[in-house]
Amino acid sequence: MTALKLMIVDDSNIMRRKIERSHQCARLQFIGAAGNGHQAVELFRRTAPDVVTMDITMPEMDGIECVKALVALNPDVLILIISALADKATAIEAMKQGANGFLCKPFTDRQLTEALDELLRGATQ
Amino acid sequence: MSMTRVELETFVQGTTHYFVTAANQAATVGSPYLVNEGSPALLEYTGVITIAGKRKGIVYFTASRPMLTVLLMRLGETDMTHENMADLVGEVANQISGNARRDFGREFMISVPRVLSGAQSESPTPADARSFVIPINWRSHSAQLVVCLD
Amino acid sequence: MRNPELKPGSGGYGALTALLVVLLLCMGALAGLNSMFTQRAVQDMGGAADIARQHAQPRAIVATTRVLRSNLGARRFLGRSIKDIDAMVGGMDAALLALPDPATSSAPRFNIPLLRSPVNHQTLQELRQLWSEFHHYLDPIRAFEADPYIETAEQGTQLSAAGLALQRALDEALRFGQANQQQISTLIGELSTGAANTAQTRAAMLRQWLVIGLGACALLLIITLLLIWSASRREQALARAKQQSDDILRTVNQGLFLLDERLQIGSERSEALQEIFRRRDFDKLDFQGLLRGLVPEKTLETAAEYVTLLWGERVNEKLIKSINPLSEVEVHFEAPGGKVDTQYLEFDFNRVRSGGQFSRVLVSVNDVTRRVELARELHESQEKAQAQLDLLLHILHVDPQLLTAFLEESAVSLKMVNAILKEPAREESAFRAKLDGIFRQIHSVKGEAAALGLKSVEQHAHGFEEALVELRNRPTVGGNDFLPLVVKLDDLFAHFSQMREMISRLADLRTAMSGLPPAATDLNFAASPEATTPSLTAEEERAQSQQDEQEWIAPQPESASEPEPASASAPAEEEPAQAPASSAGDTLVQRPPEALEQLRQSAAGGDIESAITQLAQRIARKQSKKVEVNCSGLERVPSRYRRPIKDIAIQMVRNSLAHGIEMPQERAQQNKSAAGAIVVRFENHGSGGCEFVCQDDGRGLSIEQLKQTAVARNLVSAEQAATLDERRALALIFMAGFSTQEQADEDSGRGVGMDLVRTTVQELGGKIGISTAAGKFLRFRIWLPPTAEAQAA
Repeated sequence: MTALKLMIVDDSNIMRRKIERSHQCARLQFIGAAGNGHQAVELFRRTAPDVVTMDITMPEMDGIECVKALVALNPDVLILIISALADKATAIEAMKQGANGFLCKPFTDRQLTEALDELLRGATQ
Repeated sequence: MSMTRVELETFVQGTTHYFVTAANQAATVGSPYLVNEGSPALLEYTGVITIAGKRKGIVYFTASRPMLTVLLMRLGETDMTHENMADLVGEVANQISGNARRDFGREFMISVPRVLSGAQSESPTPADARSFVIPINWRSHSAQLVVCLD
Repeated sequence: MRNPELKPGSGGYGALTALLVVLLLCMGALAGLNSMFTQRAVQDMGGAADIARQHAQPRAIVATTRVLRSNLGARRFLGRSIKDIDAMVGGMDAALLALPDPATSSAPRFNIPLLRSPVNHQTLQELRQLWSEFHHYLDPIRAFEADPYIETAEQGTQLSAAGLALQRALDEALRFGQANQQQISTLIGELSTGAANTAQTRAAMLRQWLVIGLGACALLLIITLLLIWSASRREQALARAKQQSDDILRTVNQGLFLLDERLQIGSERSEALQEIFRRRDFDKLDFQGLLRGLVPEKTLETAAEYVTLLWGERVNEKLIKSINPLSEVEVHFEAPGGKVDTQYLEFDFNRVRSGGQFSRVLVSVNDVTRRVELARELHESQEKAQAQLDLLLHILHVDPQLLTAFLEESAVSLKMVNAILKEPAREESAFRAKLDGIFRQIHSVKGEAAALGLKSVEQHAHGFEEALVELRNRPTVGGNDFLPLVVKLDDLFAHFSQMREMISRLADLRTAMSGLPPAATDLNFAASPEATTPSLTAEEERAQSQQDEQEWIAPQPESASEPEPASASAPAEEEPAQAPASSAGDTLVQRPPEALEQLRQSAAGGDIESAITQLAQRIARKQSKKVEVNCSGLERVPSRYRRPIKDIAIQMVRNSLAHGIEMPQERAQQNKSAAGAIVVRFENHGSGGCEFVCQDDGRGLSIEQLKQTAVARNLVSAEQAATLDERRALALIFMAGFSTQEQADEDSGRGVGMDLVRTTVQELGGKIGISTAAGKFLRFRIWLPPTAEAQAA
C-alpha cells in the first residue's frame, strides 16, 4: 500500500498537533498543517496532499470555502471535516461542497482513527 | 428570555462530553449557580465565545494554569507555553459552544475564540446580565463554564 | 435488508425453453431417421433375397437346355422347354439387368448403395459379362419358332434346316452352359452374400445411429427434467424469499421504503409505514411529499439535501451518519378536530449499491415518540410563571408592609440558596447537606407566601420543594442533579423581579390616579437620629475604628483546602412560618399614599430601615428575645448599593439575633439591658468610598471557640488553627461551611450566611473588617468603593 499524504487544517495549534499525533492510520503520512483556509490552499498547491482534515470555524477563510477550493484543485482529494459545529445544516453544506465525511469535536483517538480509516476505505471501494 | 433547563443542560453535557472524550477522564459538574450582579470570577485563562444570531451573549470557559497544564499533558502535548494554554482554553470554549449548536441550531452563531489571560482581565460579561456558572471539577482542579445569553 | 430479485429471471427459463425445442427437434429427427432406416433395411434385405433366388437359375437353364437337346434328338415336342428357358432367362434378366448399371444409374429396383461397394460392383460386372455371353448363346434358342422337323418318306422324321440350326445352337449353349454355369452360380451367390452383408452392415450402422439418437434424446430429456426441477426449486426459493420479505414488510415495526435518485418512493414498502405516516397512498409520492407539512420546510430542505448527498460518489456514508438531520425529528400530524398530534420519528438512510452504482437508498423509519417522551418525563415540566393578572390580583390583596418585608426576606433567602449552591462540593454528603439547607430556605419562602396568599410564589416554591424532596430520595446525588434547581431558582428570581416591577407600576398608577406628585426619592430624606447609638461611646468608637483599620480582611476566594460542610442536621420540620394576619379588606387600592410609597421603594430596592427593623422584631418575637434596632444613614445608600446593603444588613441582623443577642434573663445576669441593641449605620464618604457598620451588643465571638469549630468542620487542621492569629481566626467565619450554631434554622442559616456577605462584598470590590470582644459586642465594618457618581463628583 502506498503512503497517502495528510494535511491538517485547524486554527488551533493544539488541535493540529493532537490530530497529527492521535491517529493510528499507518497509510497516512503527515506532510503539513495550516491555520486557516488561505494557508491551506497555498500548502495544498505546494504539497498536493491526498487526505485533508478540515476545521470549519477559522479566521479569514472558513473550512467550507476551503473545501470548495481544494476540491476544485483536485477532485479526488479526500476531506474529513473535524469541527465542533454540531448543527447538521452546516455539516451538510460542507458535504455539498465536496467534503467526504464529518467527525465532531471533541473526539477520542479511536474515533479519529476509525473515521480516517473509513475515509480511506470508502475511497478504495 | 431566560435560559431553560434544557438549554443549560446542553452546555453541561457539552462540558462533560469534552472532558470524557478529549481528555479521556470524566469531569464532574458542581451545582450550577447564578451571578446576578457583577461578574463571576475569572481564572488565569479564559476562552470567550461571542454568540450572535437567534441568541445573543457570551459563553466562556475559565480555567487555572495547573488545570490547563494537566489537560495539555492529557492531550499528549509537551509544550507548556503560554500560547498553548491560551490556544487550549479557546479550543475548549469553541468545542463546548460549537456542540451547543446541535440543540440551538445554525442560528446560534459562534465566534472564533477570544482568549483572556490573567485573573485581572476585564470581565467579559455585561454588568447587568445574569450569568449561569457551571463549576467543573476535573481531577483535583476546578474550572468554570459561564453562560450569559440574552 | 437485502432486496431479493422477485421476478423470475428470463435467463433460466430461456435456456429451458431452448432445450425443450432442441429435444423435440432431436426426437423428430430420430423418428424420421428411424422410419427411413427401417424402410431402407427392408429394401436392402429384399434386394439381397431377390439376387439369392437367382442362384439356381443357371443350373436349371443348363438342365432345361439339355432336355431340349435330347428332345430334339428324339424328335419330340420342344415348345414347352423353349418357353421354360425363355421364362428363366427373362427372370435372370429381370434380376440382373434390373440391377442398375452404376454408370447410368437409372431407376433402381435395389438400393444403389448396396452394390456400390467395390467388391459387389466387380462381382456384378463379371456376372453381367458372363450372363450376357450365356444370354447370347441362349437367344437363338429362345427366339426359335420354326418347325424343327421335316417329314421325309425315306428317313421318316428328319431335322429341318431350322432344326439343325437349333441343334447347333443348343450344343453351343450346352457347351457354354456346362462350362460356366458353376461360375455364374458362384457369382450370384457371392453377390447375394455381399448384398446381404452390406445390408446387414448398414442395418447395424442404422441401429447404432438409432441408439445414439435415442441416447441423445434421453440425455436431453434428463437435462430438461433437471432444469425444470431446479427452476421449480428456485421458483420455490424465490417464492419463499418473496413470502419472507412480504412477511417482514408486513410485520416489521419499522417503516421501510426505497428511494430512487429523484427521491421517488419505491413500490416495496413495509406496512408499518402506513401507521407511522397515517396515510395509504405512497404511490408516485416523493420524499419531500411524504414529509411536507409534517416537519418545518427548513428541516425538509436540509433532509432532502442530506439524502441527495448519498448519491454523490465523494461522500462517505458512514462518516455522515452523525449529521443526518432526521435522526430524531419532531413531526406534526393533523388530528381530527383541527388538533395537531406531535410524534418523534427516527430516520436512517442506507445506500443500496447495485452494479457498482448507488441505485437506491433504503430508508428505515422508527416511531421513537415513546422514547422521547420518556426522556421528556425525566425533564420535569417547566412551571411557567402564573399569568400576570393572577399575580396582580394577589398582590392587590396583600398588606403592603407585609409584602415589602416578604420581598426583602425572600430575596435574601434566594440569595442564600444560591450561596449554598455555590459552595464547593464534591462528595455525596456535601451535596446532601446542600439539599437540606436549600430546603429550609425555600420552605420558609413558601410558608410566608402561603400566609400572604401569594399563590403563584407558593406554587413556585412548592415546585422547588418537590424537586428537592425528589433529589433527597435519590440513592445518589451529584452536581448534575442540581441543574433543575438552579433553573427553578432562576425562575423564582425572575418571578420576584416581575412582582417588584408590577408593584412599582401599580404604585405609579395609583399615584397618578390620586393626583398626588410622586413621593420624594431616597436622596432627600431627613436624617434619622444618629447620636443615640447605645452601648458605645464616641471615644470607644474611634478607638475601635482605628483598631479596625488594621483588621480589614480582604475577601479571598476559597483557600486551598476544600471545606466540607458538616452534613447538617435537623430534619426540616413542617412548620409554616407565622405570618401576621392582614386585616380583611385592607387592600392596596384603598391605602393611603404612604403605603404606596413604601411599596414603590421596596420595588426599587426598598426602604432598608423599616425592612430590617421589622425583620429584627419578627425574629426576636419568634425567639422570645428583645431587640432595639438603631439605623442611620441608610437613606443615603447610593442606588447601586441599595440591594446588596439591604441583603447584607438582613443577613447581619439575622445572625445577630441567632448568635449574638442573648435571652433577656441571660442579659440581665450580665447587667445588660433586656433588649439587645443592634446598630446599623451607613456613611457615604463620596470619593473615599462608603462605610457600612453592623454591630450588636451580644455575646461577641470567642476566638478559641471559632478555632475549635473550624477544626471540627474540617475547614482547617488543628495545627493550622493553633498558628492563626486573631485576625485570621476571625476570618474563619467567612469560610463557606462555617457556622457556630449547632442547629441550623431558617433565621440563621448554616454557615453560608457569612459566605454570602463575603461574596457580595467581593463582587462589589469591597472589604470587610470584624472586631469583637467576647461577651460584649461584635462589629462588622464593610468598606465599599466609591460609586461612579461619587467619583464623577
